[in-house]
Amino acid sequence: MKFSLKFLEEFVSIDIPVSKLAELLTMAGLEIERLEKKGSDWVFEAEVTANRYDWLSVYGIAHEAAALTQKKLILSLPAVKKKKNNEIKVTLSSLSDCPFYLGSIFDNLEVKPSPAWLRRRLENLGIHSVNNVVDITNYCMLKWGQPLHAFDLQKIEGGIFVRRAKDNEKFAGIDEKERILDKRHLVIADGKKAIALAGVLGAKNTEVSHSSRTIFLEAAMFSPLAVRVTARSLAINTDSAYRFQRNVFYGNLVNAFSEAADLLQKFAGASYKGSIQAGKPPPATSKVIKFSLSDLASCLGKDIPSLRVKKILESLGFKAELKGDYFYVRRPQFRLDINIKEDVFEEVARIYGYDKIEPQFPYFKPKFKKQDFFVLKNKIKKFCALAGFREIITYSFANSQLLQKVQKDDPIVLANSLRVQENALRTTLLLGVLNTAKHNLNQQARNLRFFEIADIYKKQNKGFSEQTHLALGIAADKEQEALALKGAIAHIFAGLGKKVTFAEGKHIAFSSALEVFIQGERCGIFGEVNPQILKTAGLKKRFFYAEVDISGLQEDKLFYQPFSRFPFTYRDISIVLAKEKFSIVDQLIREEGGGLVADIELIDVYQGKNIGAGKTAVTIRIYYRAFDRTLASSEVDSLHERIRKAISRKGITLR
Amino acid sequence: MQKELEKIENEAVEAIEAANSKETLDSLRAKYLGRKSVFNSFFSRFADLPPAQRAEYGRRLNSLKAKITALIAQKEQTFASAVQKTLDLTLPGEKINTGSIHPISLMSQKICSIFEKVGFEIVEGKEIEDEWTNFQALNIPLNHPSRDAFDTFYLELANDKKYRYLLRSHTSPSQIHTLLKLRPPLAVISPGRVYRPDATDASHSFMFHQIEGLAVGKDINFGHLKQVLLLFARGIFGEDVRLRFRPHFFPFTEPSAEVDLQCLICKGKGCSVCSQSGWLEILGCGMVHPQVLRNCHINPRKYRGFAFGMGVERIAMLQYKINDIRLFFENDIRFLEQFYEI
Repeated sequence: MKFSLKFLEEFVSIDIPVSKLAELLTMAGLEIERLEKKGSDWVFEAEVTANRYDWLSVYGIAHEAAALTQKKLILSLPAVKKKKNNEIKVTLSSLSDCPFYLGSIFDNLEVKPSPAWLRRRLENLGIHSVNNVVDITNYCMLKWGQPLHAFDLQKIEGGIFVRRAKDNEKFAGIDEKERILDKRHLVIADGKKAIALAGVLGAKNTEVSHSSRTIFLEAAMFSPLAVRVTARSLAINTDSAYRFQRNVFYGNLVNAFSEAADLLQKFAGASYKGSIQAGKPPPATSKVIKFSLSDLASCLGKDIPSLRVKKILESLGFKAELKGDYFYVRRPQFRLDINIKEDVFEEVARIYGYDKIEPQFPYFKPKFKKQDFFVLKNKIKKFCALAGFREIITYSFANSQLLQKVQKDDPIVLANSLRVQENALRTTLLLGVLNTAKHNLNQQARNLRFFEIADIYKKQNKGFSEQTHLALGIAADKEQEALALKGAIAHIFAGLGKKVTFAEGKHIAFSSALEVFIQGERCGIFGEVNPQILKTAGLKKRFFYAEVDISGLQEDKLFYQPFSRFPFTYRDISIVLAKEKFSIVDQLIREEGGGLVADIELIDVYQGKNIGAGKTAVTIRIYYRAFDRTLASSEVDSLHERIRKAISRKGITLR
Repeated sequence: MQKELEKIENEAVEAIEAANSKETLDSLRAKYLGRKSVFNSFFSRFADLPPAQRAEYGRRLNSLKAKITALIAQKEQTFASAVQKTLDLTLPGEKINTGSIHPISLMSQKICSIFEKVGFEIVEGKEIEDEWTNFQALNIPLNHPSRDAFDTFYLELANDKKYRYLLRSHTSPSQIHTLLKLRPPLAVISPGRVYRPDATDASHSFMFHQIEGLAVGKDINFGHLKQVLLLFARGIFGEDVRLRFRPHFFPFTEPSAEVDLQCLICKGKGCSVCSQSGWLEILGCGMVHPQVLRNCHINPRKYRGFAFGMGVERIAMLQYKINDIRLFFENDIRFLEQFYEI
């Protein structure tokens, strides 16, 4: 909302610097975002909150300014006597769409440029001057907050109807655009055609032009909802629609009409031919809001003396009576936003000054509840970072078709997506991690290890499920990186006291995969992403990835584990695997070794001509140690030999 | 014999002086001081001397031996320091490749831990909500201008309830979940992702993060709200920050305020960062609207509360002087690696 100092001074004399006025208004809740000198005038640009429709008028702002500067409001209302006219019939098809309609006829007028002062008033506020008639309606709207519309009466054919549009009814606005209407839209029509979108936009067919001699001036109240639906569904934003959606006040409708009538006579030479009225003005409400001083003090945390409260409220136009401990308050007629005592508390507090309320410490009972998930996630993040992975935050959306290529589930689709790339909620975190790897690779970055903790969403029988996943990804050339990732997974969950195990798995997104189990429960997948998907994603590296569901995970207590202080000994074994997986060997070693095998370490993996196609040579190192003695070399030798034989019995070649 | 000794002394001093490697020095040590050394041969010739000269000769022999031992040790020192000198510490240091935590996570954790110290508990909500929880329960009516600030992503998701599913456009629905689940007195803080269909630019993103706070009790007031937010601002921006509470409107609080932080750059004088105003808006807050309490079956005659909500990106951008919100979601390593804290 723009207004100017000169415009404001039509209602109240300002004798403080404009910057001071701007600060007073800002701290009273009307935030002045810009203050600019234009000629001899100052232009204020204010952010008006959705509740303060009254601040969409210079009158409303002047009212506030007068209260803040302890001035009296100057109200010189033009004396225009309303008279009846029955030339035209106004029919309201629904009183809830349009509770009140006032139409007035002016003839003998001359459409011409406006006087200089009026042009300046409008142009300073960024409104283009059109002609005296249009300018007068705009001026009255800015001044009183009541939009008006002038029709060329000669172009109206048989009566005025306020009705819903017919389906497929055509409408050409004064903005030269054609629109197809339907039953949602409220229109002003004559006997034959729509002549305005009610409260939103006039039609080309009845626009006032230089040849107009007679006009029909509309001052009406429309349902804020009807105007909102009409304006939003047709994507039209006008000053009029903006105001009607927020509310208009009957008292100011009358003022706007009188002012317009007066100005039309003065500056367009018009004669007033009387008015036609339909519907009823809303009854003046005089609701009493009751509250005690102690209630006010307990809400604000500040005792404000009753006299001060009374003075503040009266300066804002409230009637306030103190009886005993209670205030009985009536709001000003135009403050339709004040309905409950808390609304009144805010009025008192904002004029008294929020800054005068001292901060004070609240007391909250300490809660000793079990650790929350947020803290657990932060722990996991730390473990991931310590394992060398960088946290990323990627969008929760992806393309639905792309998603289905990497995760079978049918994703939840957005009804109003911004772009087709992001038209569905993701069912896996994979695409986000891949995109990040690709971006960084294109930036010549190295060491591409990323993780993300975020929610994924899936359709369920009734409704949806939302689960929290941990994704870890490494883009690299060497396949050893897959084992680095595998080790990291075990390490991260070990930090939470959880044991991770793996088992053979399959997944559409992976060329080789293992299922991930935490404490024996299946909760994720780990492996190498298949080249087809990497190609689609445009990633020219191998990609090792794990995604684990961590929803509802709780940390286990950590206990100290005794360790052996006796020295260890190691022996290496080289084997050649054909179709077998290493997991068999691992299992055999642990079974045979009993408690004496401390660890198995991978030394080398080799594939090549020397051992035959499709075969893998693996060299491992087995660490032996006992808890109660130093192992004799002969003891280790015989144990190691037993293990070799056991492996050999499974048909695995020893080298 | 006297002359012989002098000759050997000169020879030894010269040879030690000229030695240019540890090996040469070692062989000299063997030659002069070893078991079969020159000196030992002199010592063995004691018997040939008259007894009167023996003491003098022995002293001289011992002092010469001590001198040569010292010279060799001294020379050895120079070799040792020469070896140390070959380490060039001006070579570039090794780059440490650790992981890192995203600045938005860091900031959320910092903010939450400040409120935790005062007694708030952390609760997290879901990102998929329905219209009732995201709007109506918070006193935001359907088709009302107060809803303009909350453009929303709707979901195509079958629903047997009468309210459509959507992605939450703010973290305020967590107020509703909390009030329906916990009984007052309560104080909770709720961080999370939120979504609004805004076109992306330097200061807008269709996905961002918020933190919501809510405290409800029998004697909660506006002064408490001010204190708690002051603690937060000091914890994040430093002890000397100044806050300004400016009246505002939110459908779910009454009275309501926006909180401005005195500009960190110009300290209130006005600069380009704060558009010359001296202040930067950082959050919205107010006393919980009685209708919100009623919607959650809590009697507003008995209980009052305060609530606040802030954008984590906004706070992080102010704190780290980041000028483009898109940096947070691009996940460029050169950006991420600047945030060391774990």
